[in-house]
Amino acid sequence: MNEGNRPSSAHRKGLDTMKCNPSEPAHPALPAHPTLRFRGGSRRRILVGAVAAGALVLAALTGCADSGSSSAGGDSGGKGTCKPEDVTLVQSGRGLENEYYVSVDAGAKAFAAAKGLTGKYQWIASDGDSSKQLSQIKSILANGGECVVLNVDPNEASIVPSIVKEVDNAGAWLVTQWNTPEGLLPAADDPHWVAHMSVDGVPQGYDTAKALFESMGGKGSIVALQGILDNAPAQERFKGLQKALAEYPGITLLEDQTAGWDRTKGQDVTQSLLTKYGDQITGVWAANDSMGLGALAAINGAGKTGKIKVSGIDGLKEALDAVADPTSGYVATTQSTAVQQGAYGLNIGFAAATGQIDPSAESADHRAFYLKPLPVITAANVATVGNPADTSTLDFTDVWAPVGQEISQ
Amino acid sequence: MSAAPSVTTRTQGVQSSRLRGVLRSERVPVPALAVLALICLVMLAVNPSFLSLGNLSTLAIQAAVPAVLAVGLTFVVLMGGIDLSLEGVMGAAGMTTAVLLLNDRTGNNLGLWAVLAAMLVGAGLGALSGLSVAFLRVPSFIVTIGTWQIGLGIAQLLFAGKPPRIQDATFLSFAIDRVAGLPVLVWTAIVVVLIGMWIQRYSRFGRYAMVVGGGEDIARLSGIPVRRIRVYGFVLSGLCAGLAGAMATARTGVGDVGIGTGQLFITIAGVVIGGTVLTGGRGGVLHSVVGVIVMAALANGMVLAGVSSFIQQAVLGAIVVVAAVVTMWRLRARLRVVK
Amino acid sequence: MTSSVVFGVRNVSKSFPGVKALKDVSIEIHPREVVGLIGENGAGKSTLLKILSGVQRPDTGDVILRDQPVTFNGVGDAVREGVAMVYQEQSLLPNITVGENVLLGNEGGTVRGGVYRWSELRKRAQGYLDQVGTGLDAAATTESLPFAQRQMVEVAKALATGERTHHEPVILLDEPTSVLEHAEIEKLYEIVRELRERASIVFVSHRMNEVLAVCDRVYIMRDGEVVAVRDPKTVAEHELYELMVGEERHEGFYHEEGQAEPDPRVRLEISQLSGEHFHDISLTVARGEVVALMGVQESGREYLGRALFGAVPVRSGTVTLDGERLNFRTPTQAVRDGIGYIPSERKVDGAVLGMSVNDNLTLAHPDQVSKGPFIDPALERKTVRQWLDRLRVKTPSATTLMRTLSGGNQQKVVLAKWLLDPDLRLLILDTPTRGLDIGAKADVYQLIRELAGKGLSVLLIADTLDEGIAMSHRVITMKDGRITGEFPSTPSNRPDKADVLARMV
Repeated sequence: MNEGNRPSSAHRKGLDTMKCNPSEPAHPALPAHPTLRFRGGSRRRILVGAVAAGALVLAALTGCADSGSSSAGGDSGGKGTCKPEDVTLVQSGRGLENEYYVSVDAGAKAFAAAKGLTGKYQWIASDGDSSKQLSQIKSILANGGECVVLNVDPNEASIVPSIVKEVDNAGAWLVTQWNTPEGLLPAADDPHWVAHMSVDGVPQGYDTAKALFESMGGKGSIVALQGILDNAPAQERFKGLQKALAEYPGITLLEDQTAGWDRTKGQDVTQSLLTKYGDQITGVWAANDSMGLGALAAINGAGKTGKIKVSGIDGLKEALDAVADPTSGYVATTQSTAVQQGAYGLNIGFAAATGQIDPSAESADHRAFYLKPLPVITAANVATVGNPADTSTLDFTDVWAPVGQEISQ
Repeated sequence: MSAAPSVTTRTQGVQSSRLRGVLRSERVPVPALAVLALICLVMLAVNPSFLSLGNLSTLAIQAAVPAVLAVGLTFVVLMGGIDLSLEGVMGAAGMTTAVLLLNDRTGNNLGLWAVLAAMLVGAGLGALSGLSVAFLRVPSFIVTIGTWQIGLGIAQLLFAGKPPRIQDATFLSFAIDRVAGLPVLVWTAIVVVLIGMWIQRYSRFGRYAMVVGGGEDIARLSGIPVRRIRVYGFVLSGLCAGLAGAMATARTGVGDVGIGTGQLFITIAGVVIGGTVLTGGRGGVLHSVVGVIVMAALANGMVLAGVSSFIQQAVLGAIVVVAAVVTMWRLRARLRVVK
Repeated sequence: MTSSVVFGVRNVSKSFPGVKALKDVSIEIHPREVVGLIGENGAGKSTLLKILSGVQRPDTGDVILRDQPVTFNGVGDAVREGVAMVYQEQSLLPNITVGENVLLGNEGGTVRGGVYRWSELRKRAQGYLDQVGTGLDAAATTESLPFAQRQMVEVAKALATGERTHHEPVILLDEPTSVLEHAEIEKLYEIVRELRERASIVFVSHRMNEVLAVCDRVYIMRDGEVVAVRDPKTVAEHELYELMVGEERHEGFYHEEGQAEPDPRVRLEISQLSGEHFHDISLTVARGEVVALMGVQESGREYLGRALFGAVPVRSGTVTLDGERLNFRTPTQAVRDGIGYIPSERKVDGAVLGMSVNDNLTLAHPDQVSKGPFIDPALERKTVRQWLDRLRVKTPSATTLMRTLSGGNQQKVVLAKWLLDPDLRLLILDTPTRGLDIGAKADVYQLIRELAGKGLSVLLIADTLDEGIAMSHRVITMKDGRITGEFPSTPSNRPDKADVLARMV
């Protein structure tokens, strides 16, 4: 072999010397591999799919079995037969980092105290998680049985049917607040979903808007801060605003933006709107106090305190203080209904559980109603409004006293 | 016969101009800046008041808190981790500030020491995260979800059902009074960003954070104390979140458990858009801050452009996805091993 | 030469579960000498290196540094004492500059009080880079450097590490040439010779000729023991080889007697195939034929191999397998068509290091160990055991993780993975024996012969000229993406290496 002008690949040399020698002994015979039938490579995929499908079927069956088996409580007819001391009171809401719910809890606790059931009262927080709320309710019903009274603020409307089903199965007693799906209300023949309470957002929006426009002298331009757009309260309140706008031709709505019920967002959006419209803006209508207070901060930051009027809804303590301060520019808010919703909701449920009332015999406006509307709060009457968490004026004697207008969907 | 087989080598483009060098060097977040420029151009046509001094300072105010968050988060992300606890830490820190300053609920009046306390609360929560990640080897994704909830829990404890309203005028003025055209809050953010950039470029911690993100095994083999660096990263992130919580509280003037709500999305989106890749080892403080400014500009711009409320969130999300893809596209090729 | 021991080990032993990796090993490195360490994979070289570099501690015995026993509690300790290793797997970080990489963990005075002084750092790193002759700027970014230059930076880094103490450094080179091409290897020898003026070097390789080219003394290891030490200038290669394998296995290395006449029926027919890196390729492979594809780095031969497997797109041209026209879009389809592919970068493309040997083996064809839709564990065990025995894979058990196996054994498992399919029609091998020790290589060659004998068509992208010529029925050369030559190759009439090379370059 011509080893001549090869590249100095020294590493080749080594292998050359390992050249084969024809007389080398044969290697021992290697075993043949077993012959197998050919299978497609998608085997594993089919396997996984089958297991997944099987798991789904099992889950569905278990789910059905679950709801089927918990009908132990059964339908115990129209009236509750619990003794007052056996009743468990449960209040469900978003969370106690929110002033509104702190007041709801206060109202509920006041009711429990009034009935001597403080030790049997529970607050459960959903933290804005619908499935969490549902599973919390399920486990309470599993433990408590038919003498559980639930006053629930559903995280979203779509879980109401599931909650009702659970309560029906357990034979317990439910009152819902605020959210329910379109067209779904307590049925005449289902006593366990005792009542649905809400607050009509339209008069709230309307009244606060009117107060705002009056403080502006009936002339000027406003921007509107809306809540989360698919929430019923947000839509109702905005409808109220539009109703008021129709009555005040001197007021123009420049723009509406959503600030998601959030204070900081309200501040940021207002800032941007102030940049956009400059001196044109003389008023801000906010669908709740958090956003309104955020707007107020933005206005202060722009150095226009008092020159731009602001209105909100919900009756937060800070908003009340702002309304009381004539220099702030915050001119109106509504009274908080938190305490009433907590206390009276439980009151109604308790009455049903103890047989004091028979829900299936009650009129439709007792089963689904708006709370009696409360007058809007302006500088004129703010002094008469107490602390939003004040529970001293609660009166539980007439179960249906708080009923206002019937909710018709 | 000529011997050596042709071996192709590719050397670094030494001949390219310095500008190309800078653009390629990844020290400057080019794609994010391009996106920002695009937004400015579009707004120039749609609503020129976007570029007015008044709006620019509004933008600066709105970007201040996320920018500070981004500085801390950047170091964690550079190391290949993530810190999801920002909102909880902000809540805890914000409440701490609110109850320690002169307010209408407690009798404290600590003045600006309250801000320091808030930062320490943040650093403490960060240390908790960092120690768990570094020594217990729990993935940062999980640990920081836990710290998030702990932070919210602390905030709720301090909240005790009634929001404390801050009455310390000096503190509140930071959000309002302007120094050379911008509120103190914005200057604070600028200083924090500059410090962050310095740390990244000149401090051992900063460089080692990059190294850990680039290759943890190699870092370890080179004798770098990887675990310690990890802990420092989370502490810094907590420190920044604490400061951010205090800053946000100055804006609202009240102690609010949910003061951080929504900031996680803005900050992480900003970090990603800027080019600080979530897998670690790339990008940096400047990148993240530019990304955050892009996010703030988008939100502000949409309001000025009158984009319907109904679709704003969706638009924001879609733009984030597109911008992230554009930024990552450039890096796709770079991420392959060159033989 | 003084007899002082700059670095070494004395009577060290080290065991891992199921394997005794080192048995009473002693080696000495004297100042300013290059000591070679050769042995098959599994001989204990890597374990010894790990002990030398501080990654592992010996079970018994001592590590000696400058005549004193010393204990390394991790790499940090070794590095601080001036013992630096240049790793086989790249240890550079792509996202920082070259200069930072060189001084990583060893910044010394260039970082004062935790603050980086960049101009100093750059200057100092540049010094090392220039000493090694890389021609690189310390401010360059690392990730765009080609492999060979990265290797040089690693040497610079090792040099920097070695100079931490005021003693002369000790540099450990772990298979530094395994990724380099000819000219680069020469360069490396120069660097090693230069470094010898200032440092003591340990050079580990399984390529004997390299070790012989630069070392002053050579230790030969086999089965965890040091069997001999020789002076390269006086020893015969034949003797070294025998010491390494312990038996007369050099004969029949390529098993050329197993080369049978291929079937006249053509199995693979490629017609005017073009893609990004190859153009107008037309060739055939018959049943039972081994065709070697030879070419230098940019010849396109690896891309052709990948394209036939569907891993790289094809722009035009046709491929038929046993008469059927194939449409290559994905490797999954290629597997279904009975094509197997063994990549050159085993760790990146071939083996799943986090899975067990068992799982890696059955990865491509789980159907071969299944009954019905489920894997039959007894059948799996049996099949896996058969293959492990057949290929002589050294592993404590089939359930150990892939990453604990030596490189050669990993490659054998990857090979077995494809061979599991009885319907395999075409096997494409991209430098399958690169990184394998001699024994493993011989096993692989034997296997290829056998399979070709049974009718498998093999396209071999050979590691070396010798391998390609000796193993094949035909040698096809490629250059710049085109076919430049074809040589028939029978045991009695092998083509001239120079002729083949001429068509490659």
